[in-house]
Amino acid sequence: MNVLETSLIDDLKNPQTQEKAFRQLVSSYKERLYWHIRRMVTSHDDADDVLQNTFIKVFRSIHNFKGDSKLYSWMYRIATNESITFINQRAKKAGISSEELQEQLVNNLTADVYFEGDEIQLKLQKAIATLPQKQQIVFNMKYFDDLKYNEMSEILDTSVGALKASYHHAVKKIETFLTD
Amino acid sequence: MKNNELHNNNTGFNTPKEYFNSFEDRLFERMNTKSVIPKETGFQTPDAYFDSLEDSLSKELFGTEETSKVIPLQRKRDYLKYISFSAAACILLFVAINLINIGPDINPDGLAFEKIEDSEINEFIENDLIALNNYDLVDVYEEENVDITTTFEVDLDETDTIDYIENTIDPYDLLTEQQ
Repeated sequence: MNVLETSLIDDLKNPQTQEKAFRQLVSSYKERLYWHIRRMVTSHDDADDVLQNTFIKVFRSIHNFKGDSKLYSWMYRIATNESITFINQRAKKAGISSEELQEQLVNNLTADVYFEGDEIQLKLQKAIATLPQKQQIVFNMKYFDDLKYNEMSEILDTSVGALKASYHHAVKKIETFLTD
Repeated sequence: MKNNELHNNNTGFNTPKEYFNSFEDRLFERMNTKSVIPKETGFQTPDAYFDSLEDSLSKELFGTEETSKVIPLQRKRDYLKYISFSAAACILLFVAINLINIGPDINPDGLAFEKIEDSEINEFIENDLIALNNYDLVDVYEEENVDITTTFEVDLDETDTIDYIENTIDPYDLLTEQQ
């Protein structure tokens, strides 16, 4: 971790400075985390809920952050887990599997005012929804967020080799889906 | 120079481990994925969505909102509202007393101002039953030369007053008014 990150974490832990530090934290990371969440839950309203839950969780857990990873990696992991929890809980409530729920969410995109994708972009979302959950996350992180494998390894607690294999398979399946 | 020495690196530069071994894979991966898979998702956000996120989260966690439109001087008492009500009450009393003293007896039924309770007068003013606007109050106030500093017990801190003015008056508005 760099000096700025260490300083921010210290300020977050200090009751005198935590509010200002929290605002800075949100300002610095809100967009990156939002888009990561949005690509998983697809709807803006759901992404907004999960994003806010993520930041609240980060704030409340900051005293447990040991500094053994980068702050962003830790926050990214929380965002990923919150998104997965959201999908699983919504699926359970609806009495369907998380795969069926994701298919439903993607089908709803055609009527979503905050989706302005063309036919191929819609098809891409359908393709991603057919992947196992972990492969979806790996694909999104690598393809859209452009994260390095070692960064992804830290976030997902998975080896670089396994991530490369997962990404390779995800790309092949998506390409096949798009060209069919 | 021998052929197998043509590509030897004698400049001191190095590459990451396995760089050349994985180069073709990375190159073809990039070429193939870019040609079939779109880079943009098509997802949009509401206008100014990201602008208000800090405020809503801070409000939830700390109960505060940085971009508050009203900057109170004191959380518990609104001194300016107290002053305006008190000023209105005093002015009305002076006006009423003067009218009673100089005018004809207009109380044939024996009604006198002195018989009206103070609480009734206060209630009349506070319930906006009196139709005086601020300009009327200023006109009457100037005529009566009432010393406002001896009338009110409110003790405003100078710093609070300056902060309030700076936070509620836009200097650009003042400049355009001057023009």
